[in-house]
Amino acid sequence: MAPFYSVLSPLTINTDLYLRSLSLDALLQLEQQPGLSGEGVLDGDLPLRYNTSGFSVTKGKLNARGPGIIRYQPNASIQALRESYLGLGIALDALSNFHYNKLSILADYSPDGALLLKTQLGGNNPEWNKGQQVNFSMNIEENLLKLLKTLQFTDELTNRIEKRYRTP
Amino acid sequence: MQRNITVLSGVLLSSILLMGCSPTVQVAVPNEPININLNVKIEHKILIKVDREIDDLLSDQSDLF
Repeated sequence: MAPFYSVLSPLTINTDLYLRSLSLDALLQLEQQPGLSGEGVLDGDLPLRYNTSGFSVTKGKLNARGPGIIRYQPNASIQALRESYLGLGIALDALSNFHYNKLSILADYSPDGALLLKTQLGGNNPEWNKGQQVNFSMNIEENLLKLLKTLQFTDELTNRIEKRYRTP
Repeated sequence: MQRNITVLSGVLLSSILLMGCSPTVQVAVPNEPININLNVKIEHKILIKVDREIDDLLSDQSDLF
């Protein structure tokens, strides 16, 4: 653990989270995207701050410990976007079985749940275009609080229905 | 006469070379990496599918959600 600074009134927290041996597959499963899976290990350094407005992370880093694999075979509605975006077709072809040798992510998180992942991903798909090297520069934006809500929703709903209809 | 034969053989040779070449003509695959920039915005939505019977049941309990 890094040095920990805290002020109790108003409560603020300043600490650095050092995350080691994160499973890429487990992280990708959280996204709830059908057809998305991975193999690999990540390490992360996240400067975590807490103040009256909530938690935030500025310039957190996630880096691949070594080479790994990302597989993404999206559903028909995303496949349909190939028509409108030429680059997307290439991206989806490469990502169907992407062997990366470089994966580094810069993460920013603000108290309202907005998460921005600036991702550098380099590697190839051995089955596509003779294994030509592809370098992705991706900005991934999502709301983490909304994601958590969707993840908890099923359990919550089951509980509520049970409470309401269970005969005492 | 000698000269004509040389010209003829020259023509023949060139046509053979062309034929020899034609199967190897291909679009060169660039060896440089492809660079792709993507901006992805992921929206999380909750989709609920409910059976008709349950739907009727829930219509009385609209505060459930």
